[in-house]
Amino acid sequence: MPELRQALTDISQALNEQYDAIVSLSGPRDVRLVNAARFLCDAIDLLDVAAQAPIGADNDNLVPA
Amino acid sequence: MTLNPGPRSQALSNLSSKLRELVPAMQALSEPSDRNLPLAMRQLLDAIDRVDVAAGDDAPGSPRTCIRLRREELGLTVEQVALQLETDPGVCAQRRGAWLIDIEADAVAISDRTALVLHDVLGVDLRVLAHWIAVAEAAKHSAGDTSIATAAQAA
Repeated sequence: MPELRQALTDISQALNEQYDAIVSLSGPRDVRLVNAARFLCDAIDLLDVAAQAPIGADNDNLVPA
Repeated sequence: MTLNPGPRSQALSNLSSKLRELVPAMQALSEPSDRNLPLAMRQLLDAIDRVDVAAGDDAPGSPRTCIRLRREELGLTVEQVALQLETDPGVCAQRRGAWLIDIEADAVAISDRTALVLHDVLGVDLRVLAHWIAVAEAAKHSAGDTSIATAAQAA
């Protein structure tokens, strides 16, 4: 499973690089690219959550420690 | 000349390609019980769609962009191109430059003869120019139809 986490982290990093590229190309009024960046940001967040989730855990059944 | 995309459009296309390369990797890691990865995939695909649309919007789509881009590709200024142009009747280079600026600003429709001159001087693809001549003609006819309809209503 560490390989899975590493693979997810690698994808997340690659998406982060493309996020920076989108931000550098977009202006404040460039609605499509601003939305693209927002979607990408959400994808990165979800990937990071998946990469950090306890191995074998069902996230729906997690309770506060 | 072909319709080469601008540098920003090219950068966006490259960006889209890099994002697409990550899709199979994410698919390979996704398991049936996963909730986050399918959601992440959907967000990624939405992001790719937006980038593709933005890249398409920046593609050359008018005489202005295709003539200007071709001139810039050749490293020529408007004045340098104006010096190579011949007009009938003959006018000074300054007026020819102003005429070229009007063409690049879409303020002047391109005629058949202008298309040939631009092809000779800049190597702009005649098929591209023919397309824009047809668009200008269609717009002219459409405006004529509107004025006829307006006149008929007035009558």
